[in-house]
Amino acid sequence: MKKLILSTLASLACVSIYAQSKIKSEDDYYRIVTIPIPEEVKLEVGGLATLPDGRLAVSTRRGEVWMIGNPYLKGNGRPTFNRFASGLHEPLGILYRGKDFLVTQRGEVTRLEDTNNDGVADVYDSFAKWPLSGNYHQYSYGPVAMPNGEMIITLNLDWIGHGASQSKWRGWLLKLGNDGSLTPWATGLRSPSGFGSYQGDIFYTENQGDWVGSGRMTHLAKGDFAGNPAGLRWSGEPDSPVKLKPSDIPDTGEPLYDVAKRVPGIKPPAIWFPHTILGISTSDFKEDVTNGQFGPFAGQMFVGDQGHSIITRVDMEKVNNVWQGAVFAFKEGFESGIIRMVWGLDGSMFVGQTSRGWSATGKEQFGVQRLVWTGKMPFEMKNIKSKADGFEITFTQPVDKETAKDPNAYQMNSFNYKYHHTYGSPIINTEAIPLKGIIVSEDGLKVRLVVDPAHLRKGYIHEVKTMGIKSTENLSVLHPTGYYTLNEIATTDLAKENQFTTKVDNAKAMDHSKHTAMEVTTTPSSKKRVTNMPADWKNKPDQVIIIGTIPGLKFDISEIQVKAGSKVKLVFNNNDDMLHNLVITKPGALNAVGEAGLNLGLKGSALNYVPDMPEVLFHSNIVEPEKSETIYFVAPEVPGTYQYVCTFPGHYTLMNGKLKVSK
Amino acid sequence: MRKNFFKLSFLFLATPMLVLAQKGNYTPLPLKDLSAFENTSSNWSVKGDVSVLPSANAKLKSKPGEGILVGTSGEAIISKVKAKDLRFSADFMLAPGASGYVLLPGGQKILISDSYKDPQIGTSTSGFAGISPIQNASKAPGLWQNIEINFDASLPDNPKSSRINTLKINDVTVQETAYLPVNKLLNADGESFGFKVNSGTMAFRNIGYQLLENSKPLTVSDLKFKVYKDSWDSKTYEKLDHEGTTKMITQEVTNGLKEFHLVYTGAIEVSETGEYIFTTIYSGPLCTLEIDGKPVVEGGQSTSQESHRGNISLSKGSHSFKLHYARFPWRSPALGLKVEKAGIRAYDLHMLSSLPVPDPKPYMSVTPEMKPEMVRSFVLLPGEIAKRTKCISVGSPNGWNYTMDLDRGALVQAWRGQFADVTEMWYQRGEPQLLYPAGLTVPVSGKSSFAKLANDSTIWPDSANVAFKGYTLNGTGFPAFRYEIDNSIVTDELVSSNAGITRTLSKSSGGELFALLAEAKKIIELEKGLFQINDDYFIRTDKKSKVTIRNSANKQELILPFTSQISYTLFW
Repeated sequence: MKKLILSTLASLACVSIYAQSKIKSEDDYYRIVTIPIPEEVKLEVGGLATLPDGRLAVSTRRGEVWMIGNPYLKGNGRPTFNRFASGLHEPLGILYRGKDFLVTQRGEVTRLEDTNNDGVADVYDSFAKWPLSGNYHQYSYGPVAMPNGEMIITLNLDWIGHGASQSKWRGWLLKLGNDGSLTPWATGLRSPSGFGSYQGDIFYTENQGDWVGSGRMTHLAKGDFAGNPAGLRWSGEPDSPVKLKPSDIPDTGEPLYDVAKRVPGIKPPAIWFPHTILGISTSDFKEDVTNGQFGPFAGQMFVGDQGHSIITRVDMEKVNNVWQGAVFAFKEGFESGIIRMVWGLDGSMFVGQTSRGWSATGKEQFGVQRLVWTGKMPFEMKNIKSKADGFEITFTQPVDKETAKDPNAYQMNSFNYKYHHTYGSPIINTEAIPLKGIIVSEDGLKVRLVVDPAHLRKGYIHEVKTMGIKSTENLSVLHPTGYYTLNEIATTDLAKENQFTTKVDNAKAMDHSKHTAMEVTTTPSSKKRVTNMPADWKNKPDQVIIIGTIPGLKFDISEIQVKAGSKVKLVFNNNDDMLHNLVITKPGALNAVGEAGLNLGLKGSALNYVPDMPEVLFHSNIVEPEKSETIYFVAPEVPGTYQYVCTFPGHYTLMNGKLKVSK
Repeated sequence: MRKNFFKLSFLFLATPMLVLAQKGNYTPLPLKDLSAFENTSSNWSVKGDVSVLPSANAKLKSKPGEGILVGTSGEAIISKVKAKDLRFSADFMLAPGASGYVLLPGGQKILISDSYKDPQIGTSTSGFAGISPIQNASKAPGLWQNIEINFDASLPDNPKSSRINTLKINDVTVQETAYLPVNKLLNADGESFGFKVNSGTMAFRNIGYQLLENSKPLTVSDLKFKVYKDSWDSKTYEKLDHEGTTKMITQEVTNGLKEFHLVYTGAIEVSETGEYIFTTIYSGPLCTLEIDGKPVVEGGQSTSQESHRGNISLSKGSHSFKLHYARFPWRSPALGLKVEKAGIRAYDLHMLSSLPVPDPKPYMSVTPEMKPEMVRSFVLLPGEIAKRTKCISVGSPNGWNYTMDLDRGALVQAWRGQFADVTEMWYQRGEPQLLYPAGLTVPVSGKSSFAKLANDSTIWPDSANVAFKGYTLNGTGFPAFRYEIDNSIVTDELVSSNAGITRTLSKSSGGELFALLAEAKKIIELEKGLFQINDDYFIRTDKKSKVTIRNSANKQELILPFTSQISYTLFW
């Protein structure tokens, strides 16, 4: 009887959660509309441009430029596709200039013009060019027009086991003159696929890699150096505005901001995108210039992510003349990897996508979708601003004051990444930030979180969670976590205790933050991860398995056979250029384990993305590109089809295989 | 307009392999006289030299001598040698309009014909064997061509079929794993092969064959291995990790080491004296085979898609060998060693699992349909180390295709047949970013096609001072490239028709330049305005143009002064 009541209660709870989550879905506020693409067109998007006549121009990996008519799917709902140009070498950007287009091929900016108005370009002028090494990783992006009419391009580094600048200006952002001249502007770039203007300043986004601990967005003033030293190879050229030399860059693994304090010229990013939490490969971004047509975030930025098929939202402020701000989750569920975003004529956003052999959470190889605001107001943290003693959050709708004054509604942590030549970084130096007080504004739109200024750390990412807040309409915050990159602390007045809506008793409050604080545990050899051959094996495993990774989120073996109870030495070679692990799970537990890995959040990196659960039998740690790890285990006694999977967030659905245990 | 289809054989895609593989190990059929043939009739003779112009109704001219078999329509000529399974290679030259067969043991026949202008592939295209060839790889009459056949006359587990394993014409695979019906049982002692001319005149030379057997006259024994853990790109190795012995050669003894140098030593037991061909297939930076202390096969960076060959003459008895292999740490290891000999099928000296079959790749191509198609890409020319990074390849619906190096203003390759294999550009990450010609390719000089020279004896520059300015498409979709050189703009337009590729260079200002029409070992002026470039292709110029054939380091060059406009046609 008791059991019955319990389960009834449980199911009631489920219903209410369901009802609420239905209200809170992203789709209620922003909808994705997929543009149907003819089957024979391989629209692996590289560049995207909106034309004032309503068409959408798309440049593709296969060297084509397509004009999509009626991309808004009005009338009969059918778009038209016309091939405007072809034969270009992977054009990763297209700029419409009225009578012509500029597209950036790998080695050249090309001017395309249709002089006889037959809908097909007949002029392919070489507008600007640069040398190439022949390395596949030498992608070239742009041109992007700044509000003042100036044009910029960026040149991706080579990949030769690490980033390299094997020909001139690789790893640089350059200005492109109307006469085709190229003027170097800034370097330190690794994979600069997204760049452009925010309020007239130049920003670019970066992907995790060598010297890049996590995705980030950096403001590039003339002569700035953003962090990857490969491009410094050319800083000695007479027209280089950058003075640093490769030997000036220390490789200590300290946070980048701390190194930049000692080495003038290194530019810390304005925004860090915590790896796997808010994307894994930041791409294009756009400032919201729609004057509200796209919703309540006018003046903010939207940033695409290729690997996770998501768009995040960034709000920035200038503190002591330095750009910084917060990033929030915004919209997930795009069909492929996001590489380009442009505003439509109606204030909706076209999102150009391709997985291009790297795979993305969105399983399609490519696509173009349109993101449209439904007109409904989501309950969100609109922005977070720095204060001398903490942060002030502005919400899009008034908060329910009862929930807002409860210290348990919030959590704050800060952390950083290593700046070093290694690919990626673990999360380091994590600290929980105790609250001192809460000030809820009269109108309920602002909440000020007051902390001891000693807990604010410059150059750190400050995680601000508002998971307990409800709106006056009883909605939870749609995306309750913001990550504020604190380069400068605003010099505002300190809050006085008599202003506090709630004064937080720290001893008590810490109680709650204790179990959520992230201990950075190094993971030595454990029962599930034995890295030295057990002595009693007498140097004789029964079976040696060598398994590697191949590009496109795959293991190179899809099935392993072992004998029940046998002693197995498993060598895991990461041959790919991304981070991977190998986790062996109980039969049928692959999805549960993969999902748990995805949901580890900030803890994930320290745990090597291996969730602590009984379904996990054995595992390796995260293995860097071109590194290897060997683990030893005794195969399960019970025969069956076990599974192995990479639990690095976003990988498990594709990257897995069967471990067949037989008698 | 673009077609992707899955092709399960990775061998076909391994374009570099076609280049690396050498024609080898054929037993020549003597052509001193007709004594190698049975019951010869008067339509066959042996000559010393033959030639024919590539123009309609031209007649084949010949000189007395030996080495070339010439036939006209009439009875077939068949070998005294009896064969069952057969490898076969022959050079052939056709008079305009000629057509005939290579006859295989068991009655199968393969068509060779003057079909280079065939608009469609079909029953009259060289390589037709009851099944249409994959593509038209024929050259123009007057050029020596080659046919290479790998044929099984009988299949033990499929007695009603014979099988063409591969058929190559001019090094282009035109048939692969084609099963042909067998109507009668093969004579137990084998049957003749031969030739039959249906029309016109045909000439053959360098006729070679191998009668294939399954015996293994060479084995390895006493195998010892040592695994060193020096880094993969190290030139030397000294840090021994472990050692042992095995029955067959395998890289699996390296136990999953990321970086290693594996050295096998042992004995080679030879039961038949003869010339042996060794082939290595591997993934790694190096693999060398030494026999009796002499290097036999040496290979650099390789990814299991190519093979490396070397040959050595071995006497009956025991020989020592050493095999040294290192892997790329970022790729799976793979190591294979095969041996073959005249009359003996190639067989493995490695364990099957040592050489995993690479995953099949989809074949991705670009095929022009109504208008020319263009692809800009990197191109790696045979014999070059660095990729050319600013290349555009142009394919036309009539099947004449070419690649321009835009950095140099150089025509670097031209081919006929299918247009472009772009698998290595568009499949997955496309790391090589290379386009390969998918048809019958002729080597064209990789140097700038036009340059300013002090006089007509100045050495031709590899890369003239040329700046690419862009191109415009004409009404039919062919590009006209523009370059700046010596303060004038040169327009370079290549248009193809059924007769070949016609190139027109023009400029409206500036002083005299020179154009490099061809560079080759041997350039012959056949008649006024018609030049033969090796046995690769012809160039036709205006009869009045002042073309010069001149010698340059080991080669000949065909150059032409270029003041305002010049034009010439390539065909093959």
